[in-house]
Amino acid sequence: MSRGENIANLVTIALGVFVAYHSYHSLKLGILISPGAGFMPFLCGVALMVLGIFWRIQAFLLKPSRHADRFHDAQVVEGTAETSAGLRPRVKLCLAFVTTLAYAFLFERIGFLLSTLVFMLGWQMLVERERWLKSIIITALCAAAMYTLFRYLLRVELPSNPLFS
Amino acid sequence: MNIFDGIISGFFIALTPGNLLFAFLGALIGTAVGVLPGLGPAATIALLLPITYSIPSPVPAVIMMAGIYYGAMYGGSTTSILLNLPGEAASVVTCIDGYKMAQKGRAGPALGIAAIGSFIAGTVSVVGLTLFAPPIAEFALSFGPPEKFSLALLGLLMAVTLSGDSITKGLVVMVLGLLLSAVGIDPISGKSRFDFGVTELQSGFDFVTIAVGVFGLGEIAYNLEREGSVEIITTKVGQVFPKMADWAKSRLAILRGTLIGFFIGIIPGGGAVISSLVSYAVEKKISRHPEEFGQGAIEGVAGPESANNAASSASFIPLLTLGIPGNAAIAMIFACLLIKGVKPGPFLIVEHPDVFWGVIASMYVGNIMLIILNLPLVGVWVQLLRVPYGILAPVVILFTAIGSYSIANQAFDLYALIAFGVLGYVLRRLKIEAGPLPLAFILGPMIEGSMRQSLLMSGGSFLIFVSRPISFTIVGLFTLFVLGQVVFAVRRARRSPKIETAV
Repeated sequence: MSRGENIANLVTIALGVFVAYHSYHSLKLGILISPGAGFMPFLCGVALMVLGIFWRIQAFLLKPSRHADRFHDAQVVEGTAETSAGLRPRVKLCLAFVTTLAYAFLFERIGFLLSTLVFMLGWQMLVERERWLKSIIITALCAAAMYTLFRYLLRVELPSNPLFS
Repeated sequence: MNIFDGIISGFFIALTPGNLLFAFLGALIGTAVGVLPGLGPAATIALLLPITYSIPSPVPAVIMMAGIYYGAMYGGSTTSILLNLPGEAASVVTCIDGYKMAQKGRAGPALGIAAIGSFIAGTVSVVGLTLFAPPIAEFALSFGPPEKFSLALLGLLMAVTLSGDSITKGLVVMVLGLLLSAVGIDPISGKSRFDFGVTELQSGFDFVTIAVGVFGLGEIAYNLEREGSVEIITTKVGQVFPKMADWAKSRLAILRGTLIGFFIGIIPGGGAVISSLVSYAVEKKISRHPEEFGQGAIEGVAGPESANNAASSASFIPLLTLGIPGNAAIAMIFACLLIKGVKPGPFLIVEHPDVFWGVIASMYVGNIMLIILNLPLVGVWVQLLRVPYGILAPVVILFTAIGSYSIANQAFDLYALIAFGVLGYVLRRLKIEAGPLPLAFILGPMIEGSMRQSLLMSGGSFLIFVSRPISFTIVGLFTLFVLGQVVFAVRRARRSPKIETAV
């Protein structure tokens, strides 16, 4: 079991315990002839716990003997070596995440057009490390195209800047 | 309305200029996403779901979505053959012989036979859909809550067991999907579940937010990390129409691929990926020259490409007749129908014959459009691979964000979208199939509702699911299926040590 899979497995079991407890305690199970709001979530919680434990046992039993697993691990190692060269892809991913989060934060606060301009410019400058001029051109063209498409062609209701409206 | 009248009325609907335009758009977008690696049909349909709000009628919306789905199957073969890069999962097997043919300077015939095989299989499969769907829908009209519960749950379980490498992990994702569907106000008791005091959670998660998050954002994040490892090579395409000798070798492979794809496509979870793998295995097994497979055998392209197209059309049968989506892309079309106020299932043919027959007829038209789009324009599609990812990725993110926001006009959905994007990325990183999540989410309310109704009917006894004949048959068939899989797994486990020692 890789480190990531280990964490995912523990999260699954913990989630199962929480869901089962919450369903039993707060939502109530009801009686079989008339199951309550917590009945199905409780079954799901128990299923998550059982599956999580089974997943762990399976990984424990199968790992040393399976040829396929060795192959899989080799692929994972190879993949990590390829993608983490110079740490760039991981940093890029983090920057992309922060830029997207900032977009969600600004979307209603400064309106669609302005937040899209900030997002696109941020993406080109931070994630793609493009030059100023190229970034500005791409940003302007993309923002204009998206605005025209959603506002005028598809008539989607989009937030406008509170200062302008 | 009998089948003949139905399909004629369907053609009247599908051939109106507006619907033709939507079928064309669907075929065009589908081929484009089939060509672009890392953006599958499920993700694309999810991205475009919010747009369907602005399409007034359900018919053109579903026609477009269906076009994207089967169009992607055509487009997927292009990059597999030219670049050894499967544009979507069902084309992985096409890489084996397709790319070898391209290396030998026979990219043209490979692309040609893939498109022709796809056209024949797609069309034959739609004929099957036309003939089989109405009687199945009529039969399903007699289903009560216990039958609905058995069918939905067992269909879902079947989809999970067939869709990924690990059944256990697939089941975890499925249960997660069921749990997500339970968030919000319980329709029976009126109690709010798992809202943790957040007002926005009381109405539950929207399917679009989950689908575009897990499939759209998740894929973008995964590809961002791997970007740069893909090198784009240009291969000379040449003459795309296959020669007579190629055609002679391929015609039976196309026929077998069509039949395999059609029958596997009907099974929930069967779909395009498995059918293409089965078709390849069958072709290699019955070939007089199995040693040619892997070295550029045209049958190795013709069979699987036909199978994945036949399967994609056939997977509409359980959706349109039983209301059971068999794979993630079909689940998106299910959601599209729901958005437009149409409930897929046995009543669809009676309540919305325009949707039922219009969509089926549009598939005939769409297949013709696709062969025209694919054969002469193959060079144009390859150029699409030159769109820089630095532009494509943020534009896709903008689409997902606007799509999620426009459903309820609340910023909360944007944060939910990002959270589901992280979930999608984690699943991809851990090589866990995300498909069961949207399937379970969409079937969750039906499973829970029919289970509670059944228990009420039976006075709290679970035996109701096996005491009624249809429900018993469904459970019995599923048990046989599970037993078959166990036997298969045991046999494979017994055989594998021998293979290892042989290696």
